[in-house]
Amino acid sequence: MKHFIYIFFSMIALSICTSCVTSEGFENSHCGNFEALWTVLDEHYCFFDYKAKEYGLDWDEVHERYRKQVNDSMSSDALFQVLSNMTYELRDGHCNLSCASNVSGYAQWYEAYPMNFSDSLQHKYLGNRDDYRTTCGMKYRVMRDNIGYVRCPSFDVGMGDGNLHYIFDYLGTCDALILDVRNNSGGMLTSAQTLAGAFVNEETVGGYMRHKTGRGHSDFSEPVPMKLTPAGGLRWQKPVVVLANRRTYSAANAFVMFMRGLGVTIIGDRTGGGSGMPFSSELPEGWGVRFSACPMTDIHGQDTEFGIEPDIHVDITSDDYQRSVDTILERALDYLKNHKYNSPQSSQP
Amino acid sequence: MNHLRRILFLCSVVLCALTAMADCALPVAVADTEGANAPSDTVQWRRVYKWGKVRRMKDVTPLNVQRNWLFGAGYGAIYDSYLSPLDYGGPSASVGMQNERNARWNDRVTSLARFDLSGTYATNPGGNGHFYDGQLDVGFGWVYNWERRYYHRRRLTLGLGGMADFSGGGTYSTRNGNNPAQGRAAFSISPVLRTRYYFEGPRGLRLHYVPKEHKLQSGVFSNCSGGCYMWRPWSVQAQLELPLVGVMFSPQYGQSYYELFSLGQYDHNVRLTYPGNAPSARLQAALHVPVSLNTDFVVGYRGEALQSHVNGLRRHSWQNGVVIGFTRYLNL
Repeated sequence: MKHFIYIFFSMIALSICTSCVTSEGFENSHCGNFEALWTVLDEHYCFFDYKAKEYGLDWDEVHERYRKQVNDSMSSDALFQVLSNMTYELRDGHCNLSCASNVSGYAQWYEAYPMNFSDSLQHKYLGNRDDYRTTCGMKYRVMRDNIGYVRCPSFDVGMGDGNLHYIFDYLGTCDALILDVRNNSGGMLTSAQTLAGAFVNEETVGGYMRHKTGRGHSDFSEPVPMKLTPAGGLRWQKPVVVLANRRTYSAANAFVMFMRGLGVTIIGDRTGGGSGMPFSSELPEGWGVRFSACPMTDIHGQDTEFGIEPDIHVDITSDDYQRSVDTILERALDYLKNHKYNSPQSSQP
Repeated sequence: MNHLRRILFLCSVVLCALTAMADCALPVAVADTEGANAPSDTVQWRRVYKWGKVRRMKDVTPLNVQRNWLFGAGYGAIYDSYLSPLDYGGPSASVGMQNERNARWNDRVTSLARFDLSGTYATNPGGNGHFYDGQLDVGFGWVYNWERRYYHRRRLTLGLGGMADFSGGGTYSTRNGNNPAQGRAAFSISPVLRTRYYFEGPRGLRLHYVPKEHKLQSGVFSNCSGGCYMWRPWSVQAQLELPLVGVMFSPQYGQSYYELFSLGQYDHNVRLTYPGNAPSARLQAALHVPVSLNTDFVVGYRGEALQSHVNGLRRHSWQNGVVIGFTRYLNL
């Protein structure tokens, strides 16, 4: 009985020596919400080192500068604006602050540049509803000179090998293919990988991804390859070009990165970037915050956070809009007419 | 005082009170055939044949099994830094079943098998985000018992043993994007401390009618020719588990489940646990009120503090609740 008591109290002592695992305990005041946002980003955002090199971002300096603008007597709207301005210092479209009345977002990655896309022009080239087919959010038809055209407006929709099989079966008699991911703001990375997998015949590395292993700005894991698995159905073996513009972002930017690695020609404008997979968090006020957490790089280890330059830069001018001419699409059609016999696989590294 | 220490303090107070009574009282042997620890007087054997010959005799004596069903409701506090920096809290519910029986190889050893299913619906402080949390625990173990008997049919049983616990579950956040959920899987070995104190209930509530020649338990029949009354005690039981060592699954600090499952990346995702990085405790205390010959009504308290701090990720799940249920005494 005595041994039992000794053992019992020694176990109690052992457990009491350990402490409870508790939260950071951010205060729900304006200053507390500011500190919470700054700390969440400081500990989880993945591009501090990269952006310090690119444009001299100093997150501690940002704290000092914006802390002076926050006080507990300001309105919630004012606090939201100040916190949003602080997130704009990251120059990241994946970094958003959201509340019941508003969602903030850095938009300079596309607003300061030509649109290079128009719904009216798309309707003109796709035609009426009977002129094209649609599956898993993609629209496809045969254009002039026997060139196939696939419009992919979003990767938010899941796509399978079966869907791609029917697209390429319909376009199989075409001599070349245009993949249009302009104004594609992203979606599921797995959808981008599935579509890119229709252009490879064996497992191919499309890029690399890392994640944070600690709170430090430089605490990252080893890069892990993002492999493109060949599609289970029909795979495209003929020439292909990809159309992109400044609003090609996130998973669409990753798709362009995959295709660039396969040697595919990119026509249009520089992509918007957004190569960090975003995570979500929240503030004591109940506001949501989204931020880039897992950075992706191309097959050469280069960051694509600020976009991918096209091989052929084309802008749609005001005159082109007036004449209802999609200059980027026309350039792609002319390019493929002269390069029908160069397949993407033959130009792979 | 933090939650874990509150549970341990409560348990130590209960056990201190019981051990103080044990030191003061005089031991008196009382003929009593209650509970799963009561020895069986009749052993039954079965021949085991192999290749047409009797190779050995197998003990197939039916054992006294105590099966506890407990249904709980209470409050759960959840924090998971992978999903949110804030503390969530809300109502929780649980269903648990624990089987206890004597080990065949030693009458003083109790075999335990525990199954617990619990769920919590927690809300953030702003009221605009929710966690759906679920947990399943399965545990198997053995406890060695000491017993001391007192006047007026009081009896104190103290047990010390170990339990292997398998647990799995997850937490889903309604407001997150690429990190919407956190999965959990763990195995741990825990010392188990049990105590049960039997005492007479209030007058008029301690006796139960036994029909003529009713089989009370294996090999023991009532001696009543025309029916009689049998005394069954009330009891207070407490069980404390302190996970000591084990392994658990955890994503790395900023690792996405896309990397884990789509890219197949392993990055220290299986971690060794010990009280320094996963201080946890489970406490269950209950009052057993006999309502018939082989059934007790049970009401009590269930507290649980499951915590971890691995891979830079911090998590706690603190559960407190009232449990109501019943205990069946079976011969199997």
